[in-house]
Amino acid sequence: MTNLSLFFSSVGELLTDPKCLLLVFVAVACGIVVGALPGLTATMGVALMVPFTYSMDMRYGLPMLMGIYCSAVYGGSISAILLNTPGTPAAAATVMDGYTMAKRGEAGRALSMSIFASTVGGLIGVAVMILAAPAMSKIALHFTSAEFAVIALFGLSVIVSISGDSLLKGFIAAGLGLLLCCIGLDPMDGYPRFTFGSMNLYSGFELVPVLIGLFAVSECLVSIENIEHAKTVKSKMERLLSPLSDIKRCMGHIIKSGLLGTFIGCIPGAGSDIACFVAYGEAKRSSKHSEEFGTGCIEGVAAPESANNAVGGGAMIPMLSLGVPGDPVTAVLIGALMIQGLTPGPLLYRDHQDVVYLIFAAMVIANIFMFIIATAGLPLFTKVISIDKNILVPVIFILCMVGSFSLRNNIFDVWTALAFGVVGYLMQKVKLPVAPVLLALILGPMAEENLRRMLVANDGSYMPLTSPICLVLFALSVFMVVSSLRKQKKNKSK
Amino acid sequence: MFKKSIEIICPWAAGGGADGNARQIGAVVGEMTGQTVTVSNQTGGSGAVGFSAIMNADPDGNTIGIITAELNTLPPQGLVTFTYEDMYPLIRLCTLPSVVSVPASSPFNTLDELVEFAKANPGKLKVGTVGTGSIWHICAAKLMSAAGIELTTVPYDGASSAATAMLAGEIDMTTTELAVAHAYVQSGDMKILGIMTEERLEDYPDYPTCREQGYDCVGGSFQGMFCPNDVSDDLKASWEALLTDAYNSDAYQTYCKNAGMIPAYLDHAGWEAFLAEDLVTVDALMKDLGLAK
Repeated sequence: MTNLSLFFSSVGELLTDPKCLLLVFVAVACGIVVGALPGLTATMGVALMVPFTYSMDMRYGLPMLMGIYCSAVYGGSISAILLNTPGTPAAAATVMDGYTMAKRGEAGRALSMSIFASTVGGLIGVAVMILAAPAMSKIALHFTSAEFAVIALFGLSVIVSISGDSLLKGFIAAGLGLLLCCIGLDPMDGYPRFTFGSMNLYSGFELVPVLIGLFAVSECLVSIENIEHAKTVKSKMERLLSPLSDIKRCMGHIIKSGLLGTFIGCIPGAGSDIACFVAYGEAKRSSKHSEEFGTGCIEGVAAPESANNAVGGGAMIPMLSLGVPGDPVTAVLIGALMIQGLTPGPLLYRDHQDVVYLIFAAMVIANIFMFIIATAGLPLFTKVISIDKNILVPVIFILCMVGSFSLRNNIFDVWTALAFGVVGYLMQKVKLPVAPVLLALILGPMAEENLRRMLVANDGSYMPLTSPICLVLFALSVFMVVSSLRKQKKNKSK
Repeated sequence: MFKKSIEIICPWAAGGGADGNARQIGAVVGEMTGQTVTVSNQTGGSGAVGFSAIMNADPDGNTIGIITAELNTLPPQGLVTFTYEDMYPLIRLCTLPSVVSVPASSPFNTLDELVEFAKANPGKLKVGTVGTGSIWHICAAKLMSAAGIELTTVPYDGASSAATAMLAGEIDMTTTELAVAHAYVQSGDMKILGIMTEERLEDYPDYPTCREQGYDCVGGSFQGMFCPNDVSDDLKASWEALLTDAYNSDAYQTYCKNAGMIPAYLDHAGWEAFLAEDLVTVDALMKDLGLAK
């Protein structure tokens, strides 16, 4: 049962400890920077912070880790909106409308909405975690390989919403992404596929360098084309907070995306990168003016940003109660807890309630700090796009290369980013959308591994796919596709 | 001796088990030498990228590396062209023993009962492992060959995913790491039928070994330190001595206990002999599994 008085006393304890507040404050600020820099993901930010917590008291170490986790996921949206460079994979869906808004001179409006939606989404995730964790922890135990495979299929159905003008082009892009997933060691037999003997390809292409190449490097190449006549976009920061009209317009999407993100987070193996696309697709499907999505629509920023931050709370549920990471960041957090002598899993809730509630309290405070720091920093962030392109483009380019390298300290990833930069550039030229490539690259391995694992575990039978959860997910996928297509058809005939 | 900063190459991502181990031993080494110790995570290729980075590191004695059991599972599969012989083993740090675990609701209460059922129904029991050709897959193979049974192996992406899949009823048993299964035994969700160590562990006296039940299989993952072959003999000896002291420190021993690793020191000679013997076993098992090249 949820022990609310313990929660409030944990919050009180954190708030009255100046050292702890200061550490969380620093962690949140670092997290925003880590998130905004391409290549430095939330996972890496947390992993780099973990060694600092080895010698620290848990009361300080855990809140710091939570601070960097929450804010790094948000930070990715800053560079996504301003520079067409998702700082983390979780911000990949924010690019579609955020960057278009920035190009139109509305960077400030998009950024205000992004921090508002991230904070509300984050708090929704935490609230669900606090109130429903014991009940929701059992969800993961109903998911076998069959369900995971269908979840991946459901995620792929979002392609209809992120394909831009032509569905056919969206499918071509997604097909390209799925083909890329074939590279690497076969997940079931361990046989090397399309690796050409290079051990760098054993684990396939890394997601982050591909992301950096497709979005950021290609954008740099496009900017170079007309760098002589580049107009700097003037973006004034008239107000720090989102106008009420924007909030009213997006609130429904923010709440729905927050709940969606929490749910996706609590499914092991599905993280913020999947959640942001699903939320975007659902917001577009259900919106009254879905034709505006992709052309700089404020809901297109609000929905994915709310969902990706809500994943944090959701992902903690299976981590704390089962010891199964809900996303890559929580996998690192498990290591951090074990160093402190705590084994996440069935016993943590029973034996170490204080730790569990410390984590809850820290996440709430981290989200609030994130809102304050980011809002105060907005005027500074928006200045970035008024920098002369002659200076800005090379700087972004270098950051992209450093970011790709730093991920695994492997020069191969730099070549990957460059190669995908050229691919992304050519795709822009023939108007192929790049987002479906990324979505396919995220979901392809999940679909393949789980479908094949299901077949091995069930002697080749497809029957597990008829379980109630699978059938519901199949129905949702069909609904998502059909209703999006009907809407698009209606919009076209308008 | 140790006048420059020290680099420890870790073939696995920051935040993982091997990374934590490298950082902890690095912290102790840093305190002892007064040098800055950095851990550089050079990941990729199931560890192959980092292993070759250790092998090819500058042999000035300032770069060493941590290795895991994959150093012996990659060569038999033809995935790398080098073996542990192309590097210099310094000391072994710890082992992560494998355990045979089943859900609490399983009809099997001893390894004998499980083996008896498996003999009557070849291939019927599904055993969850972590990754094809991984050390946990090898542990399942060791059990099969020791007991003369046939099991269907189902690879997962982590020991905890395999554990939840077993509780969800997708598989019947797992041969993954002790730490994960131990937590579920305490919560009453799992039973451990046998642990793949030579003798019962001091900290886990209730878990019978497979060996004492008549199935001679000892296995699991292990971690230890290596340096490039071309490092001078003096430096190799100093490293071995320094790491031995670091291993014996309270800080490192406490860390192992908390992280669920079993401290299992071996000096250079012992470590080399262990790897040689292990490689022969793994090679033979890979051939049985049809994974060898």
